[in-house]
Amino acid sequence: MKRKYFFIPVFVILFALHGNAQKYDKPFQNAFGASWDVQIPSNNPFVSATSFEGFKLEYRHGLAHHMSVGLVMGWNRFYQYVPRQTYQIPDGAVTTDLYTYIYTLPFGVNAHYYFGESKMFKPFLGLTLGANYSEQRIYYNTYYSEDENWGFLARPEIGVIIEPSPHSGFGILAGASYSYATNSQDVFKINGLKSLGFQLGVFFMQ
Amino acid sequence: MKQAIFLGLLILLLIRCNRAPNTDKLSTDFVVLTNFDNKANFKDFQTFVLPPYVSLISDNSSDSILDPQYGDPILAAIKTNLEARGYTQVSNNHTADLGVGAVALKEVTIVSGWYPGSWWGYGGWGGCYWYYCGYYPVYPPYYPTYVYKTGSVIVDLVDLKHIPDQEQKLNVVWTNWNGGALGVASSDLQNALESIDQAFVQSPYLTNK
Repeated sequence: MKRKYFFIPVFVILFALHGNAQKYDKPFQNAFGASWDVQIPSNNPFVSATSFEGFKLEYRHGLAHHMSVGLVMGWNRFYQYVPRQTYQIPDGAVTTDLYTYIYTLPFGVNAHYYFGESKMFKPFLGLTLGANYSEQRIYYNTYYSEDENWGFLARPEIGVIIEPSPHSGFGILAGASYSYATNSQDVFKINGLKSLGFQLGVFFMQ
Repeated sequence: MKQAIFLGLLILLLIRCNRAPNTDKLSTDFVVLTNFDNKANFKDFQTFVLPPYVSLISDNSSDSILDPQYGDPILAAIKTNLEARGYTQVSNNHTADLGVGAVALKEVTIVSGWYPGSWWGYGGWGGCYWYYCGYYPVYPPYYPTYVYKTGSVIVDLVDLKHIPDQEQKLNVVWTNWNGGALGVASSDLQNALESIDQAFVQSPYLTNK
């Protein structure tokens, strides 16, 4: 029940931002999106390199008042090479080069609000709430150490659906998002997974 | 509802389909690990004794000594480093403060994985093999099986000066494990020698000066 109440203030704000909305318009009946997802880690010393290996799949169900709700899932992996160096450990030290690696699988429910009356452009604001499964590993020589964990996910996003040919049912999806997940791992010094994301993909509407 | 089931199945599939990254930059240099007894006073030791040979543990149980062609340079590297830290070699166990232990391990590891170059690619050491280490042979037969050797050189320093009267057991005051994948024997030896040098570099407390 708490989650339901959380949504209410979000959409009150969205309505306030768009006072001229035609109240009963649906943006579409149903829609599927598939996007390439680039993620830039934020304040994560374990892996700071940008991930170009990711995608996002989503389903959106159109509602009145220019809104939609749906399901979303993504897939990203981050990794970087760390040249050979010495790490201090309790009563000792380790020297090696290594790869640090994070795999994430965020998924959850989403809600979007669409602005404007243009048939070609549908700008939107959205919010995803859900879970984030993650694996973290260190690869060194022929060995690896790993852990896996779950976290709560919150992801506000902004974007636009571009429909080159109105009523064709096909659109291009472009967006940006900020992800915050509560996954943490003490040994790898990971305290939350945060990243700025950019998505580019296709969108099929009915 | 169908969409939710589809997404749920996809999530489960993706959790299982996670692949290791392309780790082609990873070197074959041994991992060098050192540990010490934080109660030990290394300035309290003056002399050390080397073993006559480097012991060997491998999948061939009849081999118990590392070929001196490789073992002697390893012992020489240990000697050089200990002397550089102010310790003096003696030949008698009863007069030595520190006893050196040196063991080489060779083992065959069987790993099941995807072919190199599949999916996200594979560029050298690393790759996706290791993730499946230990799961063989539960995977179906169309997964290729790889066999590679790993090796370790372990060096210990044992306190011969302070032997507890009652327990009659020796305390290890410093350990050094160097390990990784094996390749050509000559490069493996060079790898081991450089690792031993690094072990001393990262153990500045190991000195009587």
